[in-house]
Amino acid sequence: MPLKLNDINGAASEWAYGFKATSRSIKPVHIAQVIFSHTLEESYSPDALFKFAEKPSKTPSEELPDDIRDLFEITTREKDEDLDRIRRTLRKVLDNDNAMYASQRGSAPTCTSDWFVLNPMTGVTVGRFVYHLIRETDGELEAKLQQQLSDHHDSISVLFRPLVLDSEPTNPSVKPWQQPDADDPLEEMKIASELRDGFERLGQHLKDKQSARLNYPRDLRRVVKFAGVSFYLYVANRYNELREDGNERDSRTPIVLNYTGERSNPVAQASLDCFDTVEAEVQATTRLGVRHVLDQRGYKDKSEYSEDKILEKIESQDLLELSRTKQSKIDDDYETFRYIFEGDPAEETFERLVNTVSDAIHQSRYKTYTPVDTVQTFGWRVGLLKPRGNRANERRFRPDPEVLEPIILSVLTPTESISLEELAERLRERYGIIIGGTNEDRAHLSEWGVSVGASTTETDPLANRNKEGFKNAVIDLGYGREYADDVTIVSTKER
Amino acid sequence: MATERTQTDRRFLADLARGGFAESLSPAQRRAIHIETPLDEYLENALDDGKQVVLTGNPGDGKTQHILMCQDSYPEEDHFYLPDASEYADYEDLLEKWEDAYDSGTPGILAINDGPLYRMTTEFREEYDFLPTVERQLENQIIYSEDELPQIDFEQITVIDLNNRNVLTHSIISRAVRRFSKDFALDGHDHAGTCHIQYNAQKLQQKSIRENLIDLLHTVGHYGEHVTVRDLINFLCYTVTGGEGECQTDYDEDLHYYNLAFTGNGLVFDLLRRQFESPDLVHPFIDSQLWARAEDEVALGDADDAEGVVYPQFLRAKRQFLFEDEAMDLGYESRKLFQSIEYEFLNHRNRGTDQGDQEQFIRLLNGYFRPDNPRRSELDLWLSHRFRSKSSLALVSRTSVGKSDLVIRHPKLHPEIDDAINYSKTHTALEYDHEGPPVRLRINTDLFRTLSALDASVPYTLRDREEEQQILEFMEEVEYYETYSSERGTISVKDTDTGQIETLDVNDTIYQS
Repeated sequence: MPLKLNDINGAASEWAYGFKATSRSIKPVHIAQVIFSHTLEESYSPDALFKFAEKPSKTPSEELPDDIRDLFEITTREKDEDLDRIRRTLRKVLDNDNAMYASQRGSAPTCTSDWFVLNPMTGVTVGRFVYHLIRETDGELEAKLQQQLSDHHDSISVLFRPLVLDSEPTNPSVKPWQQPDADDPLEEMKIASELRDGFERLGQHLKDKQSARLNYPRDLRRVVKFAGVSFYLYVANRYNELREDGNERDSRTPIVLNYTGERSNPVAQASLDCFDTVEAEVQATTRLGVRHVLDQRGYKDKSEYSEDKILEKIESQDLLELSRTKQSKIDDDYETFRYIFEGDPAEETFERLVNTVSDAIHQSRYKTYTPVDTVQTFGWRVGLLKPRGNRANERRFRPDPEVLEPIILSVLTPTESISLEELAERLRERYGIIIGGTNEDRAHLSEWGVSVGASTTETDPLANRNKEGFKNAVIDLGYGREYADDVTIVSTKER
Repeated sequence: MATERTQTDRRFLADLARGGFAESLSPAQRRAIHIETPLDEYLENALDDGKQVVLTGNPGDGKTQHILMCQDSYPEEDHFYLPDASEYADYEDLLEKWEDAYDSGTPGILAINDGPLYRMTTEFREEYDFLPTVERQLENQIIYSEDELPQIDFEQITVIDLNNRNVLTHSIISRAVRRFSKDFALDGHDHAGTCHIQYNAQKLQQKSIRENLIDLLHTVGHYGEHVTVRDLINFLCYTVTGGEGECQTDYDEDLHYYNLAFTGNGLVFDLLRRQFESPDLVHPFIDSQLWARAEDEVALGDADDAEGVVYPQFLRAKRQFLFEDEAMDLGYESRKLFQSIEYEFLNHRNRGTDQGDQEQFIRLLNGYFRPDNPRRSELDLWLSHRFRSKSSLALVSRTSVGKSDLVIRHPKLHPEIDDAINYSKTHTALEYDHEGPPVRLRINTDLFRTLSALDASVPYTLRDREEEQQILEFMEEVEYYETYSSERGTISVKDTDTGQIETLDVNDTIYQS
């Protein structure tokens, strides 16, 4: 059976994570759509809304169906021009997440209520995983989400009301998340169980109904931002949870948040090293998955896949199933594969094949989109990594305030007051997030081979300047208050 | 153990200038440097009334100083004093003693830094009856409205957070300048004004110079940083001595008070430097005059290095001008330079709660999102909603709140402690008036400046996103409490790229325009 690298890539991801983290197009709004449709157990298919929101350059207003045109009582003679202009502007409200495509299929409009919740096409299994975490909580968060999404008092729902009112809800393909074959990620001590608890605490902070209505879309953003962070942290920590017993590290994959405001100092370097560590961990997870998939598909059979036979299959171009038409490209693909296989130092042939397939998956020439690409791209899209954008390089962890806020709310109950150091310790212990200020920071980083040296001007920039920057970010969010003797208390209580 | 010092002369002054004095001062020295403030009288009255006063705040705020000043008239046998809470490794030991004194009705003063006090109240509030009261007082030092004062018991105990005390008031600075430029500086040496200490001290005693110094310090107090009494003393002592206890009779201009005032280490120096570097202090007429004088004085030889040679002299001249404008006679008062700083915000902040102020702010907020909207009677509420990490392509607004639902609140001290300290507001707040938890937009200098600058039509893309976020979160919070129809309304959508706004009337199933 020829090897199809993309299939193996996807299957390996499913084995390790319970979803296919192999899409370049997953955006936070896709995860929002899945969480919301699963929470509501229904979705809308507002055809009129999508027809209306098409770019006028594709469908001019004069070509819109009459039932849509008739919704607009425009009395001027330039009705079509006016309508074109209105449509261009209103489309931006739905396209605030840059996920409105030429057709309704695959599009994911920015949503404030059930009217905009579709049967999503992208990020479905990832969204189901996050929804599963929410589902595993005490139910408060889901109940509040449901109330928020069923409310239509927000200005965006009212804005599109005439276009969506007639749509009938349908049952979307709501399915439970299938846990991976590798293990149960929600076992005690694993990061998914911490993230589930985080969602539960976040749910306590969300607003309740206010005299039969709940107009507070900010809470939807909080949930989705934390969902994005959860996806990232889960993927980053899987290898350590799956690797052979005895080799695992005691702490979470480190995520040093760079609050120094600079790109060239020991903290910024450590943050960059953590980015690379995540990359290495995710890549190693893929290798474990590939190993499992190849084993399952019979590639351990030495009678069929001895070294000689593999080389023969490479020679005869029977080993890989490539989606190429040009023979020269096919020749190059096989040549590269052979080169990796022959150069791999593993003694066992099967291990060499696993390494070769895994390495090939991470090479751009085979057009596979790996979990590494998926999660790092998603990281900047959700606002965890900076700089954002496809062309940026040297990304470091520096969350937007809108991302930091739900992270803090996920480790703090509404009645708690804790010190900044305690907050730092909770973030480190539960999520591996390091900002400086705990006694274990250096030991944690050192376990992962990351060091934070002194700079030319500071002895401990992590515990000093970085912690100070983080403290100011917490204070700016309204959750921190400084006292004398360098004490900062973090609390969400009104003061 | 630190050696107790007794001298109160120029060397003592130089020690104070170097900062490391607090722990080793003798009672006599402490009395000598005490600067009277309204807190002295407040404490005496409280002790006379049999109350306990908890003084909290940062190191250097003068908590222990006040205890020592009271101990002569209110002896320790009959009073409960806690000069240094940090001596107690275990808070419970301290709290036990405090409880005994509290239960027996013993008046006294306790000096506890705010961090430890906060911890005590949160960790032990269940075990000590008086701690919930302390906690409530601590949380309500600053109030926004006297109409809705929380019910707190002030009968037996009063907490005063000295973090809220502004020491850069005219009267406190004036007393401090007199104190440190007179006796200490002049005692024990007679150089007929020729040594650097006497020169500086005598200059600071001149009325016009002293008043300029007071005005300048008062002005930097508006930056909103918390200056302690120790910071002020440190500044004044350095400005007189330069940290040199031995008299210098042959010295250069760097030891003149107007240079020392900008070259020491400490918060007041930092604030003065910040102000000196402020563009507001640049004045074309004054600067050109001072530059010309500097050029004359340095006898410029090599024109290529003009700036390198002239600038240091110009710098000294400008610093001197800030204090000695009268003597330098440039036909311009120096205080006109620095008093213009943040004038508009200060004017807004210092006004009472009047309708004009509230309307002006509503207009500024409306103008932020819609420059052509001069409405003062209603505030439009805008929503920016997206899940990705990038600014919105479009903002939406449907609702507005009338001015009757919005109030400008001015923070003030709780009336029970109003007489104890001087408080300077660092902000005001636009408050949404409703039943329920307060919803406020904090208006500080930065936000006010941003909104005011919009009259000059700053493009949307150049605006500060974090400030916009504050405004939008306030608006979203207000919308949560407001009740509007979910069926109809007039809705505006702003395209943030082009600035264009489309407005549509939604009437249940149709659009009207």
